Amino acid sequence: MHLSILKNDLRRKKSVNLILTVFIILAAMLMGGSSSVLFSTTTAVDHMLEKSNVPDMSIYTFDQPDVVGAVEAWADTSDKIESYRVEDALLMMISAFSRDGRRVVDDKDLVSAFLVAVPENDSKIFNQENQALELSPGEIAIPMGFHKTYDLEIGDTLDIVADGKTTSFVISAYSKDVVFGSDMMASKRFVIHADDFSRFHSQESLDLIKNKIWSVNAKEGVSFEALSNDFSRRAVTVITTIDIATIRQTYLVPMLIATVMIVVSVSLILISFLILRFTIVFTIQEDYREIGVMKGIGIRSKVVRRIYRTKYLAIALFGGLVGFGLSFIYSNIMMRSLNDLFMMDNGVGQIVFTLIGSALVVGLSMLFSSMCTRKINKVSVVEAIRKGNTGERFSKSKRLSLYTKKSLRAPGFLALSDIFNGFRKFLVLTLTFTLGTLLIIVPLNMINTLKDKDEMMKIFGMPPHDVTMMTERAFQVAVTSGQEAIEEEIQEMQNASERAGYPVDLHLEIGYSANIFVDEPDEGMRIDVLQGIRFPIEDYDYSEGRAPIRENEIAVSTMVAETLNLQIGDTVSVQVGQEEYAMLVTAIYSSINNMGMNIRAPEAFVFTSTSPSTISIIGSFETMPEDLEKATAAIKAQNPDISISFEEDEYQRYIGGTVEAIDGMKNLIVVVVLSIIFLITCLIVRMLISREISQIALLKSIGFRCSSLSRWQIGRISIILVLSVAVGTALSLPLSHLLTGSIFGMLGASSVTAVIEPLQVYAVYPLIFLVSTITAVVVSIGQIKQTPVSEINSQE
Amino acid sequence: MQTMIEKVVHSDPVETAEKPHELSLRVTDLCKTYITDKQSLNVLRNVNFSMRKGDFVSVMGPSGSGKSTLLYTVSGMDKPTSGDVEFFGQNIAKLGENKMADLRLNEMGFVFQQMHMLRNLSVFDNIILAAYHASVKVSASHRRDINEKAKALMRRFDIIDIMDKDITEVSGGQLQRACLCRALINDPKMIFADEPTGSLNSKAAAEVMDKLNTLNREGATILLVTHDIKVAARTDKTLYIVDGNIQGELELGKYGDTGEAKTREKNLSNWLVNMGW
Ligand SMILES: Nc1ncnc2c1ncn2[C@@H]1O[C@H](COP(=O)(O)OP(=O)(O)OP(=O)(O)O)[C@@H](O)[C@H]1O
Ligand SMILES: [Mg+2]
Repeated sequence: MHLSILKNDLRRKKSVNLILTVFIILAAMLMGGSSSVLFSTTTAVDHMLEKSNVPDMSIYTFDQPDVVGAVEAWADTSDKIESYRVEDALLMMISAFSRDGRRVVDDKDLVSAFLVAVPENDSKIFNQENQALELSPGEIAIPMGFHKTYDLEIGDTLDIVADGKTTSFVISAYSKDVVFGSDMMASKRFVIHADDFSRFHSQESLDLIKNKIWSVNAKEGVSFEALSNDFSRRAVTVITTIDIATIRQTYLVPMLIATVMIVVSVSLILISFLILRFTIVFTIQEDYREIGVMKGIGIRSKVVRRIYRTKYLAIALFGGLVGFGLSFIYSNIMMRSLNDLFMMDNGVGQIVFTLIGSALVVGLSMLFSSMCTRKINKVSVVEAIRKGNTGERFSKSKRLSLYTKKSLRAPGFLALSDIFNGFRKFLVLTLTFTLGTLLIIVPLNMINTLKDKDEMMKIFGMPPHDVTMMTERAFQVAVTSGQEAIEEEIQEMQNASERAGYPVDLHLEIGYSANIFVDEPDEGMRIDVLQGIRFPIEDYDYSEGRAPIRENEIAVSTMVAETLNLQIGDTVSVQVGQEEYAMLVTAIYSSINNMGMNIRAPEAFVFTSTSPSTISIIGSFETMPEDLEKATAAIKAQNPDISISFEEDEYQRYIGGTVEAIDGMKNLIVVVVLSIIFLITCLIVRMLISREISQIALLKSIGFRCSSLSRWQIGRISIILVLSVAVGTALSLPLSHLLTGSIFGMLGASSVTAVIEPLQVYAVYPLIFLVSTITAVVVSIGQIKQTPVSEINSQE
Repeated sequence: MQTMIEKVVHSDPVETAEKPHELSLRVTDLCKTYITDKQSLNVLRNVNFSMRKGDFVSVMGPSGSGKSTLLYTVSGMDKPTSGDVEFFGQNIAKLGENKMADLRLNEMGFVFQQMHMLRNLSVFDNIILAAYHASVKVSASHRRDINEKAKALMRRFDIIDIMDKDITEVSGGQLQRACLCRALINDPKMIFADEPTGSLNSKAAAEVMDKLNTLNREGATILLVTHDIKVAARTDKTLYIVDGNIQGELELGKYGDTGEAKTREKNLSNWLVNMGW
């Protein structure tokens, strides 16, 4: 008998039950999918590091006996090292690549490339499908960014020109390289077959410089900072050292993008929770009358509850299962844009989190329905029957009166009075619309911030500047001959620029690797000491204090100040090379360069025992050239050695290929959010109408045309919608600032503010949202037309 | 839209005097078939009857015989399967949705057993809603007229003191009279009522019937479905319907105020017994 009651229920309340099922499917899909997106994005970098087996520190050195000996000596004796491995590599200029007899990369990019055999053990490289790379002799794998920038496709021929000899390779894969994968890593790894590699390696060459790559892992309990400090005290000349912290930092921008995805996912989880509760409460209210009748004919409460629990369990299980299946499609769509940036975990973890998310929906559905059906025990028969679902009674004081609204037409008034007198039933819709608006606008603001060159340059700790210039000679003299030689080189660049008709004021930015600590050197942190030469130190941004001027003064980043618990006036020890200096903190500034791990020293401070780890020559034009191409050509005509990059180019280098992914994601978020809100609106509007059938029939009977009824229905949702969108848009501003501020703040840059594009944020996207959602309402009110007047007696 | 005062001034003497036997409703070969899942149900089979202007007709019959269906189809709330319905000379059987809605708004009034009203609105707002909706222009003075008219109606029906109440706060009898006010607010040409006293006790039912009789005496045309002999006895004519067919009709003549009620009821009940009631 119970089964037949259920069967009847499912058939008779087809539309409400169907809507509930769809909602549960939707909720399970969103929760499952979003949980897995959440999991994959938060673990993306760690997952990549682990999957690629990246060592705690990689040391790239020249293959020279004294250097190799020094590293070996350290590696064999240091008590911080668990194990290490060493492999061969070849260093080449990226301009050695040619296609059809022409250079692939022009000389603007003085970038080095490492040529390696397919790595077997450490720092592994994967193909686009996230499988370990496999190559045959004669094949080469190129980085994804290289493929995009230079239009090199799989199957194309790529030549390496070395010592006047040309060796041809066929591109067979786009590689995913965790260590050098980020756009911020200027160097790249190109992979060839081991046989090809050993052929290159066995020849003496001027263009292919032999290297060693040391993969070093720290002992359990030893931090990689301690490890790299230990190594830096040995003062070995290296090409570069890359530790896990550095790699993490290069994924800063992708992580910021991933954060946007995390925000979206969390909000969608919230929305699905809301609609889930709403639908179940709504559906069970619908069942009240039947419940009352059953109790009336003497069925015990317990049995009645069991009947309904069975019903909701069946629906929840079915919906949860379908949603679980769909969430894979959903998370794949959501993660497509991130997949180019990271290697996502598509393994067991993702499935587990999807399962947890979907199962949570089933669990919550059961919880909500059992909470609602618990009332069955308390409600008396009469109450259940009478209350049925006539809904809330409205307190009289709140009521809107038609006869006081002299200028409203009847449909408009009905819309208003519905909202005024029964706002509760629109609450979920209001929240959904508001959240939906936020979901579109906040990511939009964050993405616009990421796309804003000036804001992003702040992040990388550069003072405002128009241009960066460099020559190969400047690079060399920086390492070999010290500052004065660079100054000369800079003067030469300025002269060339002036002769070309673009007077420019350049200065040098130097970075030194150092260790900073308060008491114990072993408890120190690796940082960069930044120093601007021939540039007033007052012109950098400080959030507190005054610029350091004397040679024993420094400014520290917010991150350093927080980590070492430093205040202005404190003294710290800075160890550069073999020397140790006691420095007074005079200012705090914000920077996320090197994860915010940097300090700024005045020009007065002279480093003696070490050579710089980074240099850049930056400056501003007297008047910014209008045609950058023309300016570049003119300066190059004066001195062909100068490579010039404008702020735009720098931005391109840091964020470069990421911009495409960012834009892709922006559109994706808009489309996904709009579709979800569209669907939710359709379903909720139908649900509301299903409960109002008799009211609609009544209005029809007293002569309301369908068009008037439509105006009423569309009107009230539109009012809610416009209000919600307005609230959402208003809220989006502080929320964007808060989110942007706190995300960048976590990275050490407290001065980044969200970039707002007023037209987009306040006009275009809210309008798109309004139009799309009103369309959803319009397509969902078809039931009004189909309702015959005789439904007036239907038990709603 | 006409106001009540206007109607009293020119429509009454002219229309009733010149064409006292003008037809208000003529139903010819009316059929209604419901098609559910697998079977079709012929609820109305070739119904024929007509009403003149000013008539007060009741429809009786066993439960499920098709009384409500008849009322809905002749009042254009539902489409007939076949046959014609002439409402004041206009064939409404084939009228479009919107035309029908306008007709319901301006020329018909409805009263239902369940006293349906919009839950969100006060009693007064429920009454004036249709009038506000019917008026083409939105002007304060016009709306004032509507409000005054509604108040006048409520006063006549002795429910003026519940005008600001919530519909859940008033008695069934009061609510049904409020429904009657709503049905009358646009001066309909005809009133349709489906068991208007069905959920009222005898005293409240008598009050509602008093009002209907008064209206009818003033010229209103009324078609009413009922189960109650007392109610039917106060109408001019009773149709008896069985299985969607009119089996017979009984003319009782206009109902007066005097003690003839008992005899009318007796006649009617005798007739009904003959019909197989
Ligand atoms: N929408 C519908 N679909 C299918 N059948 C219907 C529909 N409405 C009514 N019926 C059927 O039509 C028949 C007549 O119904 P109707 O409501 O007209 O009866 P009634 O004479 O008013 O009965 P009662 O006195 O109980 O109100 C009944 O058998 C009913 O089941
Ligand atoms: Mg009926």
